[in-house]
Amino acid sequence: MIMVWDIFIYFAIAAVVLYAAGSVVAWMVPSKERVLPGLSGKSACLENIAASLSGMAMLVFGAFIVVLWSSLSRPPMRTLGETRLWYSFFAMAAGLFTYIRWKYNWVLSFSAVLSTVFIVINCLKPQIHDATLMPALQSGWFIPHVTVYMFSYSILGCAFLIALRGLVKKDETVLQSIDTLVYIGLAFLSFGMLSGAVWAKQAWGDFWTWDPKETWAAITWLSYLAYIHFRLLHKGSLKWLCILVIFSFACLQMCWWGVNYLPSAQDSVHVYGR
Amino acid sequence: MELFTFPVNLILALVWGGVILWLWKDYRRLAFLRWILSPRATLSSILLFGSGCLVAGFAGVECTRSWWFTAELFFMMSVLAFVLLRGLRDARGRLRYRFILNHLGLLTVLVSLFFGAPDKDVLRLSLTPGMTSDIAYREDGSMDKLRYEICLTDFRTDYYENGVPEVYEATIRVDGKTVSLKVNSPYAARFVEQIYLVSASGPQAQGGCVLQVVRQPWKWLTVIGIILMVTGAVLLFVQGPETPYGHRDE
Repeated sequence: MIMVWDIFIYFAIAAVVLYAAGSVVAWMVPSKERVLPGLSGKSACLENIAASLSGMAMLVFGAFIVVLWSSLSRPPMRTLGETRLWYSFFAMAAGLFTYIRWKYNWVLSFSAVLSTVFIVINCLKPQIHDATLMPALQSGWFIPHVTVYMFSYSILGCAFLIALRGLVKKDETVLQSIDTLVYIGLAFLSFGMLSGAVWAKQAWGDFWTWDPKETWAAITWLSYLAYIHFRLLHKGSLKWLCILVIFSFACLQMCWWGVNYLPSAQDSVHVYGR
Repeated sequence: MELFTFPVNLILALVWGGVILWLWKDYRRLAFLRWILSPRATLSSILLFGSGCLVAGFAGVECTRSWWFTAELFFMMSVLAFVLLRGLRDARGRLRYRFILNHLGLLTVLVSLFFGAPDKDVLRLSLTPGMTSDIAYREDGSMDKLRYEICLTDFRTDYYENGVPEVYEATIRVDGKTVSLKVNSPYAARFVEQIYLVSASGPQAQGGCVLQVVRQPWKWLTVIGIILMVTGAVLLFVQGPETPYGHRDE
């Protein structure tokens, strides 16, 4: 396993370089042409190159996850370090999806930075030490629960980036993209939370016990639910809606890893290898 | 909590539901109910309960047992029930089903956990191989006699090289049947009662194992709510940001 982890840096550098190259190419598409329905041949070609380079970055990073999974003989989803691997992977995927769907030339760069931050943390503090998988994690719910959550975190990470831009540029048009990303993210967040509840019933005997991790999952879910209702009911200005999305993402980070540092969470049943 | 066990909790749930239906049918033009059905009440209920959760997130699980947390949850459930009734009447088009599934699913889950909580009973018993018992204990030390005997016939543990447990497996005899228990694989002794293998007792499992008996009569209602919510979440993903009252941008 240690040998596999030693080669992580090469996969990580290759993925980051490819994704960064895709981001640079995306910036080269003329901004005037991006808003036109039909792109010129050159712009369309540049967009395809940007998307292809980003897709290749995902393939390289995904290949490392496959190799690690195979060498551990268990899903690499147990420790925070392992979930960061998935987050980096899905952040690339979410950025690519957003780029292909809405053609924001900046989104690949932002998601590259987001993904790289977690890759660098993993290089400095891997938290992947052994192949052990305690009995509570040996469940059919383990893989769908973690991957669905990580995917939703990444999609909502993109919504966070767009909200930041909306707040700085005071651009109302970003709300449409945020809406779509929050709907997708909340749907997957709901799958993650509900699958977690069913798994908790199977493992410990109750669906919900207000364990600190569960409490923060509820806070995150309610926060995004509030955003959706503000939009459905036509309430809230651009500024406050963007702040709500940013606040929700902060709650999400708290739920994911911040909760581990709370004194109230020291006896949490959800902490597996900090 | 004991005061609210069955049938009191069921009566309270029916009275609550009945009052909401009665108010909706005959008094929805009252100023208070018009406010309950307004966007402001919907947002207030979400933000109020979210704030309560936020306090609990920092302060700890004790807050979730406080009167104010219960009141916030009850307020959100009541607003949700009124909004669902209005949606059943007004929601149109292909998004009607998404609205109903999400709201009815959440309401079912909340009602089952809120009113069903007093009926939940968690008992534990510690057994060594060869031992038979029908006596289990609650967290507060009170004892209960089970309607069946549990005999631990075998208990196996495997550890990784670093001492982390890899497998806990107990073989028990209950109701004349031999059953294998693992963590994540409980045995349903009754329709509303399950036996769990919780952990090993004593160093390196020399003392046998700890079993947990959970009675949760309202759990099937929770499962129905979860299924409704999952289906609603699928539609949320597929249909995207539109409202059952027409597209946002219209």
